[in-house]
Amino acid sequence: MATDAVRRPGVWAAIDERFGLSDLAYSVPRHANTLPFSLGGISMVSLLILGLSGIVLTQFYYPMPEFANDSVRTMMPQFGLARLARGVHYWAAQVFLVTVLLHMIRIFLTASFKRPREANWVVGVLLLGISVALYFTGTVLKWDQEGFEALEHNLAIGHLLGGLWHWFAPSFSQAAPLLLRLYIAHIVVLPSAIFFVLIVHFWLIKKHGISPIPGNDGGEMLRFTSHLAHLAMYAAVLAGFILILTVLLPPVIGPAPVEGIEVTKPPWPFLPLFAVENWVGVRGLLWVSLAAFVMLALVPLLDRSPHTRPPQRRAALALGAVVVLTFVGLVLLAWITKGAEHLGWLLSIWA
Amino acid sequence: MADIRTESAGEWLRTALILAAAIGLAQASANVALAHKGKLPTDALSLVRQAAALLAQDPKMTAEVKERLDAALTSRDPRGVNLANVEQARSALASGDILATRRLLADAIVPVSAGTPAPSMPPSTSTTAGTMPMPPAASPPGSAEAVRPATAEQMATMKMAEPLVSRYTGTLGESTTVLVGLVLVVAGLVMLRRGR
Repeated sequence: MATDAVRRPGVWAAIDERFGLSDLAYSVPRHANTLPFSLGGISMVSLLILGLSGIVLTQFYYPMPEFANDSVRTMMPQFGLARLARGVHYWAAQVFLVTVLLHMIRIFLTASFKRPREANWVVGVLLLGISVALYFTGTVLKWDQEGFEALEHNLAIGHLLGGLWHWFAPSFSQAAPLLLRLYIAHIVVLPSAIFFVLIVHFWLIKKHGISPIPGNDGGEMLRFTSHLAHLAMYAAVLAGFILILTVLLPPVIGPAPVEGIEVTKPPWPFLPLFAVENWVGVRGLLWVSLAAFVMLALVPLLDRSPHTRPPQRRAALALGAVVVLTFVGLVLLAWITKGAEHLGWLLSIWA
Repeated sequence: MADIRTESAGEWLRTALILAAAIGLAQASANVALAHKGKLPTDALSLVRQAAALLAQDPKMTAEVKERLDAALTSRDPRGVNLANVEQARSALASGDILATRRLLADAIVPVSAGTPAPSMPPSTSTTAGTMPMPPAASPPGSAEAVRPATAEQMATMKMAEPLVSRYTGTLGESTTVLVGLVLVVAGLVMLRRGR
């Protein structure tokens, strides 16, 4: 028959015939295996670790306000599966967000967002937004003073949005407490969203290929399966570090929350917003956050020149450096600012 | 020509965004809203809980704690609070004894049965060292359950309301995990080096 294929011997051949795994051996540039170009893959590995450790955590966490903080405290005293899972989950979350940010910085530095990859940059900004939302909901779930104050800020911002925020308001559902709804968002809604957006992200990477190093369009090629093998090695290093940190620096659980006081600072990704709130209050917090994401999404429009080499992109790189330094500066400023100081010197001038 | 048009459009967009950000910032500053509202509650129970939480979070916040204790002692709603203990706590705070202040505040919160007013001088709740009556879990702001005296039914496990920090104690499980982590790091780095 014309359709008869030549049968290859062996188990691998049988699997490959049915799953088409050898199609993964397409060519990618050799620099895909360098650390800067593997950051996206490393963040993906972190996400997988988060998913697995999260599944274990769901066996021990009780997502109701009366019990949430206590259920986390119960995980802490003995070193067992629960404490291990919590530590792994915490540190994988830190690694995830750091590698995502570094990945975006690399994309910007190598001008990998330029034509024809503009859409994938926007998809990446959407992924960043979902990642931040995951981090935020995760920090609320432990239901300690810091998580509760995070939620209070979120609800205050929600008030400013009026009807747009109704779904997220405590009053939306009388039967399900807001904490439970945030838990469902954290373990189902947001992971589903990130999964589907990642499919689009990977499809666009496959379609456009891994971007070249600026000024070096050629170069040696290797197989994508080799890139996957390299990612596995990075994953081993990553998992090792996470395990070590889990034991030596386990995450703290704060006191059960008391309403009406504001004494904690947010975790590091939100410290810049803490500094901004000191100057412009909650309303400013909303606008700054929105502006930051909109401007990030518009990067391909703001830097549309065809140039990719750094000497030809000095203005863009300088602006990027300003943004990064501003972020770092705001983190440091918030770090040294006392928790209760939310009215800074700027307001005393404007009042 | 296409490049010039492209760059002009990009510059225009940049300028527009900077202006929008400036306008937004100016507008934001005109209406400052504080997430924490800036107002103290009026009932003594909430004030004492807040004072206890503040001290647990940061023992240096004595001014804020004193403000709440003063307000609690003059509150028109003293239900659920032993005011004598609050008075003693204020004295202990003034003398700098934070530990005694926290114990007195813990004893000052009195469990009250639902529907009945709290007695003004109840017997001290029996607590072991390092524990205090657990306040009801905080509800989201704005909900009706935001402030409610602790009922007898709600008084479950007594735990001190302060951060819980785990430490490395060198158990077999911890040491094994660190060892596995080290092996993974070393193996991964060796393989990466060989794979170059």
